[in-house]
Amino acid sequence: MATNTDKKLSDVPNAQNGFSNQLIETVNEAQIDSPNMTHVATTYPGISLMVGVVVIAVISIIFAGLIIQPLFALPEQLEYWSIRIWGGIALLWCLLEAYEYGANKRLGYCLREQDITMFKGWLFRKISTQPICRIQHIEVKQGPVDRKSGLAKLHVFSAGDLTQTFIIPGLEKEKAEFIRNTILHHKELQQRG
Amino acid sequence: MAELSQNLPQGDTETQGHWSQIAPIGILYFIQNFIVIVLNNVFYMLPILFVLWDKIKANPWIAVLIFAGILGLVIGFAVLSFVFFRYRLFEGSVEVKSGIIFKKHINLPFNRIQNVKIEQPFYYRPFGYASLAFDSGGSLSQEARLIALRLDSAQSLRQQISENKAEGEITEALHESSSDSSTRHDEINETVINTRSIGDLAMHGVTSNRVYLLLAFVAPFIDDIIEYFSGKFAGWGLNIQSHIENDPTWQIGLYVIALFLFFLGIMTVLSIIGAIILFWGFTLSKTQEKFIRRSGLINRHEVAVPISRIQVAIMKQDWLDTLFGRINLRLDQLNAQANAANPEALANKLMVPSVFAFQCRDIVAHVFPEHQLHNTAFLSIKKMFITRFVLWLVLPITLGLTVLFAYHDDPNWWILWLTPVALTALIWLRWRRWGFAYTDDYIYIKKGLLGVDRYCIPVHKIQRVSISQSYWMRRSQVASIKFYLASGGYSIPLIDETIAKQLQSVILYQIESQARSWM
Repeated sequence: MATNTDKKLSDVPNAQNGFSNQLIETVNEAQIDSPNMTHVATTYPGISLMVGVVVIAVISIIFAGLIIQPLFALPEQLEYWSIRIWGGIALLWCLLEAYEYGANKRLGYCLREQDITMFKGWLFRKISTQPICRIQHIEVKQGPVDRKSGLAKLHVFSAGDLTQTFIIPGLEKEKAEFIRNTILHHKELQQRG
Repeated sequence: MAELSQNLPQGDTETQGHWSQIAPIGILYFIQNFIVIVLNNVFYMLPILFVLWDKIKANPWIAVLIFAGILGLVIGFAVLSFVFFRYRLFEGSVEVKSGIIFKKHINLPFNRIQNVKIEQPFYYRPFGYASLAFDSGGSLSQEARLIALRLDSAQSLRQQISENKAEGEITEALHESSSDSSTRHDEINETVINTRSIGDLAMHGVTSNRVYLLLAFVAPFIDDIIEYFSGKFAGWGLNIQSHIENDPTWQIGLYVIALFLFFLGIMTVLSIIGAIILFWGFTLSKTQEKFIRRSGLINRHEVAVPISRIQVAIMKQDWLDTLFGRINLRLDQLNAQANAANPEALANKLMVPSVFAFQCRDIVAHVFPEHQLHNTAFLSIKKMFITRFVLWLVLPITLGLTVLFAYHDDPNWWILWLTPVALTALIWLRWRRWGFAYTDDYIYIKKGLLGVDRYCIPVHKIQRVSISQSYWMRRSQVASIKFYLASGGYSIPLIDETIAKQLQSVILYQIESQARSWM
């Protein structure tokens, strides 16, 4: 399923004033839908799926515990409906996790001299490009699961509403730090001070 | 102290370096603030009142005592707040110390100030005082406010700060451009570029609903008002119950229509009053690098916004506006969409109510030269927009109705079949309104349902671009594109994939090759 949305990303007109916007990192993995996309860590989709499944399982176990425990009886109506409602939610949640797994397999980024691009989604695909000269600040974050597996999230902030942040999850820690340092050493940001 | 204030522009040395107090009239401002806090928390006090109700009924003086106590506390706190309030201008920043128990120290460097507001509540105006608020572009809690200054010193202070800021920006931008700085200091050359007459404001009241401005004042008394009127109705011998039972249907229909028109009339009048209160004496003036908006009948607002901070121009037209050919022009700055929920936002926005198209064009040209917002030929988006909504919205409703009528075939309910038809018509209208156009420098978006909103987005202020596609859109080579600016996100749905990609690369090239500032 080759999307042509990505194809022309790199052929920006660059004849004038020495403007160049070449790839910074070389591509080293199988290409799914973009010639220039680098995938996030191969372990990330699996880890993310596992975390999701564990969360659902833990809630289900607590739930089952509440129903089975001998100390007090729940009202019958409540028991009847809550089992069905939770069952429905858990089913939907599992489907979402499955979709998320597929989407994470197709999650990637592309770092060029002037901008960073993120590719995400499976059925609903989204390609966001953030010019480096518009970046306000940048963070590498690690949750407990990330720390165990040596992964990190890269948060990129531009001006404006904080809810619209640009987050690339599931990067190897060294890679995330490499991207951060590359961006921080970009000449536009250096000039701004 | 002397050498520290040397790097500031020469001015009132009294206010620089030293911590100074505000004028005593500021106590009134604090009282107003505390009363607002008390009123906002009345809800939590209701249970207490409820418990004490019987006692209060027996001895009314308890209520008087409670009231006096609250008033005394408010005044006491206000006086203390005034006593503890200190401010100074020091090393290129505004510092404010305030708070009685919880001390607060705000330090706002001049170069982070987004805009400066001068506000004159009605109780300041006879004495010529004003309060000066510095907006940092962050949250409201980071706002620094000098509560009571003489109006002239507030104005000179604002002048001084913007000059100081301009100097800082010149040194920062030296390596970028070699623009001559000799024209920097004629801030005083303020030219009025737009005023609004009462007729314009009345028109604004008719076309846009400004009732809620009044409702905010009236809300606490709504119960009393309703009670009063229902009492009156009973007194006039109106008995609604008997009318509904005895009169023919058409007559009841007439009553309903008459009542509706009556309320519409009242609402319109209230809306006009609201518009006049908010926008009385509206002037929009321009200095070398700023727009200054002044307006207000009871509380006078003065907002100064650096022109370079304006991110996007929006021409808003409700359906009545399209009939009268009027436009509400909005010039949005940082975080405009996030702050939209704030009720005070309208008073602080750079908005010009009910202007004609040519005036609108001239005002926008000051900010975005050579824009074509007023006469662009817009390209339409794909018809897939209609199919998509019909599929996801109209079809399920139609299916639901079919099931309903299969079980319950009542001719009186057939009117429900109008819902899918009306929805489809609205979707079609919405599709008709969608449009976009672009040049190297500007992107124009048009959208709306009954009214039209037109957006003018300068390409070099865009922060980020994203293209999205679902599986079905990919198959028919259609994509949606969204631009993020400091003021918020703006999207164009369902356009040709090649156009979206072209647009994206043009935008990225413009941003990345020119390195123009977005602020």
